[in-house]
Amino acid sequence: MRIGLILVILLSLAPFSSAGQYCHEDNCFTNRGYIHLNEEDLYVYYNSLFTIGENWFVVFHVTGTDNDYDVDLSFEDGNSKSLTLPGGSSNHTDSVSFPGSTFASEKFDFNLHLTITQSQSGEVVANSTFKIDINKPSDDDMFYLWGGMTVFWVAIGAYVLYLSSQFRELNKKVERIEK
Amino acid sequence: MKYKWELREAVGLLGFLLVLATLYFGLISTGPAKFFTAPNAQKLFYFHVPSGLVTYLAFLMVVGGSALYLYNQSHYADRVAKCSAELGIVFGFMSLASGTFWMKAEWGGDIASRFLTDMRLATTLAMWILYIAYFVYRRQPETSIVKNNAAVLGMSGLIMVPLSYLSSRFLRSHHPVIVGTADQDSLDPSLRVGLYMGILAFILLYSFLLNIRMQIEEMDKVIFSRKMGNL
Repeated sequence: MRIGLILVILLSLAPFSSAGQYCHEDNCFTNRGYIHLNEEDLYVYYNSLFTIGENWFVVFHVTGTDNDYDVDLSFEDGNSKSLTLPGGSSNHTDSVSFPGSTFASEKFDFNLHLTITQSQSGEVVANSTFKIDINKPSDDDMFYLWGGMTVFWVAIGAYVLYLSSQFRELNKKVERIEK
Repeated sequence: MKYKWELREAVGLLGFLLVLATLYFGLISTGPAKFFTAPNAQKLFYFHVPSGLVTYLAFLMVVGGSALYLYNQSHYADRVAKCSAELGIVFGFMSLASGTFWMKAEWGGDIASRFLTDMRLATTLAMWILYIAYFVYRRQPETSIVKNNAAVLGMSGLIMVPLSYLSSRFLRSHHPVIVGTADQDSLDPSLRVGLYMGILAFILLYSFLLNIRMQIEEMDKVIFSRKMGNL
């Protein structure tokens, strides 16, 4: 009975597991680029934020492929990846990923160059540049924010209470003297 | 013992409202900051910097009051020095404590060793402890010798305040320097608005609290002299 209950709880928690980190679905990305090739449409999906420590994906979806295409992705600092989109199918989806350790420090408006070449002829059919931000993951720093903020209110509040008690005490003394 | 409540209350209320506006601006209106390891803790900037600047202001008032007292034995100047030292300790505590929280989030590491090795932190802590000594020294019957000695001690801020303020420029320090450098112009406009709002708020609060503290001091003196008159 107890084991059954634990199994039910574990199964109900399963959808919230971290598998979503490797999502390749189109709706998992913040940006979508469109490139018209010779006779094909190419959609490029990517996130505009590269979080250091997490794998970063670029997904390519090409429709109506008759030709093979070589895709080359290179960041402005030289890090690059490439893949081939093969022809002969009506739709094809593929992806490349950069490991989370690709970058160690923050960079903003960092250029990612995309070059697409027709495999057979070697002709460059598209050239594009995307800008992304490379960011460190947010630390769990809210505790420090609230700790620091509490200091202000406690300090000001305690001092005002101290002044107010001083005032009351002195007023009583004045009343006693006047009587 | 009538007092101009209207002006003082207006200053206090305006200061309090500006603190709330700074709080809204810092916590709600602007998102987590870029370029920081701890983007949320960075919001302490809007209170940490103003409280630090007001601490310097308060201790410089102690220096001014002490100097004037030594020059012409002005009791008013002595009261300004005494009350301002108390406020400097309160605002200094805010600045040091909030800086410690921010430092822990942004830089990490051991807090004690940071205070011992970073000259900005070390000199600011030393200045703060010095004025605690001043405050403790003044908690005794106010003879002219006590006032004279306190004024001399208060004058040490003439060295401690510039030393603390300039330490991050000329000595070994991790503490960023903004004012009077090229970074001041490159400061994001959204940061600048919140910073100036915070500085104005804290200056108004300082003026308000100093005024109240001085009135208490004055009342205390009147009560003491009446008691002495009754004997």
